[in-house]
Amino acid sequence: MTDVILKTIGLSKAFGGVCAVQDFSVELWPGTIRGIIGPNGAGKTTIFNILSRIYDEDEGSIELDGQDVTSKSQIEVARMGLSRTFQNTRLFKGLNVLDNVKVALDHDGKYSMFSALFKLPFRNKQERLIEEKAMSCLKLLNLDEYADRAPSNLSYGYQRRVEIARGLANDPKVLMLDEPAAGLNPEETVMLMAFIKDIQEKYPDLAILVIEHRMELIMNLSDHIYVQDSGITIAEGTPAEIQNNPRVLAAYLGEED
Amino acid sequence: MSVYQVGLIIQVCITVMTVVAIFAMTGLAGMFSMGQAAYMAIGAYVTFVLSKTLQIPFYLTGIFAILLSIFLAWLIAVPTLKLRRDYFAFITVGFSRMVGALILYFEDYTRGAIGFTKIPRVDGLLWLSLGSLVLFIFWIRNLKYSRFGRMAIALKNDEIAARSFGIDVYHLKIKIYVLASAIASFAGILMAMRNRVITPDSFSWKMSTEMQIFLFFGGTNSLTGAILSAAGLRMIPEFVRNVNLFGVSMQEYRMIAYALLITLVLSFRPQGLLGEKELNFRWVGKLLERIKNNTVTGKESND
Repeated sequence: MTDVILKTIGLSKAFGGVCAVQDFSVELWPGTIRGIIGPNGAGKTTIFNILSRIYDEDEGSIELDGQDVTSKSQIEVARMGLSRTFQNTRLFKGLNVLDNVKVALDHDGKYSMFSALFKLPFRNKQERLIEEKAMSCLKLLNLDEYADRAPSNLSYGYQRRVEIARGLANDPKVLMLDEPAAGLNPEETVMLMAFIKDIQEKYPDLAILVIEHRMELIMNLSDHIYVQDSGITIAEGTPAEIQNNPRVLAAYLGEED
Repeated sequence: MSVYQVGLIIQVCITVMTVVAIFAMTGLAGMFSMGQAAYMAIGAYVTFVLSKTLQIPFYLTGIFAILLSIFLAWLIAVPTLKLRRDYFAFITVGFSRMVGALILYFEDYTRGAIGFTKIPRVDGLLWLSLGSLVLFIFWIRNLKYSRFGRMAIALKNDEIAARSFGIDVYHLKIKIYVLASAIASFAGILMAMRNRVITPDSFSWKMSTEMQIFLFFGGTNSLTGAILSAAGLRMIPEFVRNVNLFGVSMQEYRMIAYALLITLVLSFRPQGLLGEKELNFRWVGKLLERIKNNTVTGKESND
């Protein structure tokens, strides 16, 4: 079996006196999809924000591709191959779909500001490479026909897909999806799930971590699920195990008196 | 052309180049500076005061003045661009007041509020202004369509999302701020050469505000809009300078008019006059193609 790509041990984070995440441990292998579920306020997004280094953890360790990243910045882990989406689509206004995907490649662009200002031949050559790479990413995910569109002119479901495509443009090792189906209608949700399955086939070495609070969605997608409630992992296991776990049912459906 | 017309064209060039520089800073990277006139003041004063005091040619002191502006812009950017946008705007206001105060303080050299007049006559100022304006527009247009422009637009939208794509937000902002300030400094030197007299008042906060108004009027996302609105709003007051209202030239009311205009534009068309539209020449290509197709089909119908 290949090596674990993302591993955390005993991650904790408190805001003031409120414990948002407590003792969270996750392991993620290339080519698999794992899910985190839990009701609102369970600390799911906080986990993502710690992993992508927007927040610093209070305790615990994070290893990305065998390297400790607890002292790294958000920019550094992004460049190491940790990609994420946000709960609300955050496509950049003022850039079309293709340019939005290019942005994911731009930090790695090889030309300097000087050659950009004077539009030197080297800049044009590098710019063509960026365009090819961005376009091939859109083609792979069947989004190339929307390349010239403004993101705001796309339906919400397509905006989500473009956002995920943008997260994949730079060939990340880990893709974290924060409630990808939030705000989508049932039809769009079904299409999005097919889209994520499609990604798994086309990027065989990619590890995916999904947050969702809708049970049925995550059951179909993930191989392994972590259930969070009030910052604590109350259960983990395969979808079948989770479905029959009494603690999960209690957290989701409320306990019977 | 009359001397007045040449002077007006040069003035328009100067205004447009400063607004183009502000477009790079505010329009692309979302940094709102109220102190760009301070860099114009530094350019103007350092160039000509130093040239006079040390008796060296002004093009040497001019280069020094621009380098000094670059250094100062960097010095201010390093601690403040880590702050939130609104704090950054406050600090630029402070900086511009500070530069004004320093000019008054060094009265012995700058002649304070009376104004510094020992500025040599320069020939070919019109061509220098036009040439540099074209260069700056070329630069900023290229910047917008480069990876730096895309990253700037991304960080203007959402800094956290931009960082999650590995974009070094902080250093990119510093670079663009320094570039905009260097262009402003150059524009300041041109302005001194045009007016042949500089006072602290000629680079007051009013001027910084005016430039921001020009940018927002044309649309912060459109370079074409910024250029057109800067040129237009600069020239319109000139047409009414001979018309008097309440015994004062209409031109004197321009700040009131600008304030009204910007209030109207921001209320009814917040994206500015041109929104995101840019002038491009793609339609020329399309037109040529259509003509070509027409002639081809024309031939077929003849057969």
